[in-house]
Amino acid sequence: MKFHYSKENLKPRQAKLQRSLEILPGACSWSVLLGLIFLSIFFPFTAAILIAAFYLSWIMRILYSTLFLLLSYLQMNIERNTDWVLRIHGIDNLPVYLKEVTPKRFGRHWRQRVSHKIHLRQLNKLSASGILPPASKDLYHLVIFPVIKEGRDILEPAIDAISRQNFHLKQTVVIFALEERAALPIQNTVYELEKKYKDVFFDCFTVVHPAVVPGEARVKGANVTCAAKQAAVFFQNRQIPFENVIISCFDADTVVSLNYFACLTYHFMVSPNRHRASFQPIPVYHNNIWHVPGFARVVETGSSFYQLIEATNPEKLVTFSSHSMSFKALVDVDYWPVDMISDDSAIFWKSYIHYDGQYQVVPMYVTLSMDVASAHNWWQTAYSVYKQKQRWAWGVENFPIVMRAFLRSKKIPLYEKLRLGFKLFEGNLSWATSGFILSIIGWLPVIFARREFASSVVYYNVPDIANTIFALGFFAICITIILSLSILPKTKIRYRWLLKLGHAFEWLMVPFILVVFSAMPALHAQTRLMFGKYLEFWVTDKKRIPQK
Amino acid sequence: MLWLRKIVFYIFALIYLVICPLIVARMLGFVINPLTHHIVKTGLVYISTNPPDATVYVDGRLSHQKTPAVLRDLRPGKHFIRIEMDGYNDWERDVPIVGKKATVLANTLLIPQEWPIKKISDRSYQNIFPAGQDILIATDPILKDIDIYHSSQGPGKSLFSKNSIYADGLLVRLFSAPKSPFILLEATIKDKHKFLWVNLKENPPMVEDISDLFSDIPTRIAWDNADNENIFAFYLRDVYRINIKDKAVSLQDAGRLPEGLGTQASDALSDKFLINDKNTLLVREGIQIRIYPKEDFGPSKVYDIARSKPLTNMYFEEKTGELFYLDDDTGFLYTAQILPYHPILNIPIPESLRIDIPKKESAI
Repeated sequence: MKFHYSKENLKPRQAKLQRSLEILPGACSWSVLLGLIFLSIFFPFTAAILIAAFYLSWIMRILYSTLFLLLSYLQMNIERNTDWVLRIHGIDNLPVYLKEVTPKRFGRHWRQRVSHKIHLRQLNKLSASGILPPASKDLYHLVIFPVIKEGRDILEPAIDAISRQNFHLKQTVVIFALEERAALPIQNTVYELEKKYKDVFFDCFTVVHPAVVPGEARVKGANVTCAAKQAAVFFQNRQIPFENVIISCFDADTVVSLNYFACLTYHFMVSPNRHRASFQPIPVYHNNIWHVPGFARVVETGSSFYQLIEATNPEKLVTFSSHSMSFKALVDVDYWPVDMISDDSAIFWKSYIHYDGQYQVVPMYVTLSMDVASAHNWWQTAYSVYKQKQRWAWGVENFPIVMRAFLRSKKIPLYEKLRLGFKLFEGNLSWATSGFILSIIGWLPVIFARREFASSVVYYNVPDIANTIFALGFFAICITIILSLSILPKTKIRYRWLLKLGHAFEWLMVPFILVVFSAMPALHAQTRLMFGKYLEFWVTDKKRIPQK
Repeated sequence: MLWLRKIVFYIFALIYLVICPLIVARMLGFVINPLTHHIVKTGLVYISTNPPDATVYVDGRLSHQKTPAVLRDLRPGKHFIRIEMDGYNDWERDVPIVGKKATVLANTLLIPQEWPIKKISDRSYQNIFPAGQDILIATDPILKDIDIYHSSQGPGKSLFSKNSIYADGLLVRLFSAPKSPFILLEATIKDKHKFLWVNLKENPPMVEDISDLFSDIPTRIAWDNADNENIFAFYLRDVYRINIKDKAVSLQDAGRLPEGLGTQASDALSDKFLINDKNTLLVREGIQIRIYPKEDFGPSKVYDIARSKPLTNMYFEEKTGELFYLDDDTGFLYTAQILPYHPILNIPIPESLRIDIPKKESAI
């Protein structure tokens, strides 16, 4: 469906609808919170029952998520030692490869066997679809790094990680999408890096994005779109079909794991609908994780875990942060939105609408590491983390646009519209309200209890039920702590175990984090959208301590 | 993974749909009677005792909870509740239970088999007054015999040394304000009427003669415990503000007196206290000190504690739960441990469960 994926330049009727839908999430979140406070004060009995029902749903959700976090973590471990390059070469000659691998009982370890089973299933699906991929030797990777204030300490590890990939580097093109308004030292660094890595890859060049372009906002999407358009010209000039190009749009601090591009190539090749799919790795925030305050460590580990859980549900998965997709799809949908902050999720919705619902996200159990927002002191870091979360929560800007598209589209099935619309709405509502209800509002009926409520059975039963539910929640947190400890990168300092023990205790800050770094920025973002005070792109502070 | 996720989702959703109404019903006090398999409405009893950790029996069955305890799933009607603790009398009542309601027995005072009473002084006094934080002034007509006690912290110390110029003076009245570290002594010293302002925060206490600031003998003197500079002298017609620091006296509009003025003069008696989160009355009747614990479900009971010298003050220290009084026979200072623990205050007790104390009596 041809759809103008933007809030700008709408016809009056569409603009009105857009504005109403912008108000909806914030209004609902505030209604839930204020409504519960009102009920807690004037009708504590009703509030207590509603809150108990919410607590129960919350614990069910936590246990459900913990189960899939465990399974997802297992799957990540299963695929940790997979030889993606071998599999890629196999797909190049699929009929022979299928015959070779099908009867084999592959590997000694259960992990290898499970991985092989999944691999076989994917191969059979590919074979049955009849839509075979281009040969791996004809596939190209395009990597775009948007740069505005990131220095060499941030950029070089990112590009260095790509230069150490176990997939053909001469099939990789790296583009620095440099903002014209970037400071001179940053520009110099970019040109130095371009020179240094030009011969390592198929090509490495810089595209400067003009400071002012009519119709564009000062957002990352505009910068990377400019770079991608230049890349399109680059591939056209070399007669490389867009179908053979996989684009990865990375944040400047993204350090990919050694087999990222091999894994990405495999998933691209094995997916029959490879041109209608985005490929989502698991983002982890390990670059500077041991150099940030404890709360920031917990916040970002939580974000990684959220992605791990979401990875188990491709039907509802939406692209997030650094990810990859078919370049053909990107060109077809006319690149990223140039006036939206949440370009990473917006590109999924834009593609989903463009292809009338025939677009999906393929989860990849491979990690790429980024920086935790960090500044020079605790308060600055807290401010940076808050702003970053607010920017993530600004993804709610997609809601009104997606809803308008759903209302217009006749080809997307109604069930899909309802399912995804509900997920988008409920996700934002629960993001902005759960933390407040769990940590603060849940206690109000007891605090504001008046005589008649204080002498009711409910008054005495609510804390009891809440305690049982929180005990179960603590069990889930214990599992999260164990996984968190096993997933964290090793550090070369003495008394590492002490550091890890400290990190385990940092998880006790979860109630505080839920309110300050989750619910509050989300509610802030929704309130701004509600009042039409649109957020401007705010580049997150990143700070690394040099490794000796 | 996707199919597994769907299956687990539906299982969890089903569990939620089944469990949620059950939990809400449980919260409201509905349970299934195992004998009849019918849903019955139940109530509960909340019991906290002073002291806590007492054993509770409901209808003769030992409860697994010690006080404070919430006894749930009690069918409507009367239930016999007994509370036991070593060294204390058993507390037993028929407690009525109403469906969906909580019967609150908050801060139930357990009466010891023998009240713990301790002698503090080896000499007799005329009267006692509370002053400042935990300070007790034990008075005698002669100023050098007035002692200060820091509640329960050993023997008292003389307010005036024997060499003090005020030592031989005779006490007429003593004014103190709750929680104020100052007292005002009205005394006759060498045939002169004097007013002495005493700061008990200092060690030894600092005494200042402020007699010049009084034109006549006031009927009452009062001050706010948060204000260390101003006192108010009440005469028959006028009220004067006396600034002790600046030695200034000014006429005060009687209608604009600061709130929180409170003093106790030696001619006013303090012998009634609402204690234990205001649900127990501690009072002297004649010479007998008695306690009336809260009673909701049975005949009122009264317990004798000790005998106190008539027309003297008693002092109940809320922090420690101790009562200070002068013994009827000897005039010695004694203390009785009335509340072993500070009462629990976090549960709002319905007004219907509080002892109804007439307003005049409660103005202690």
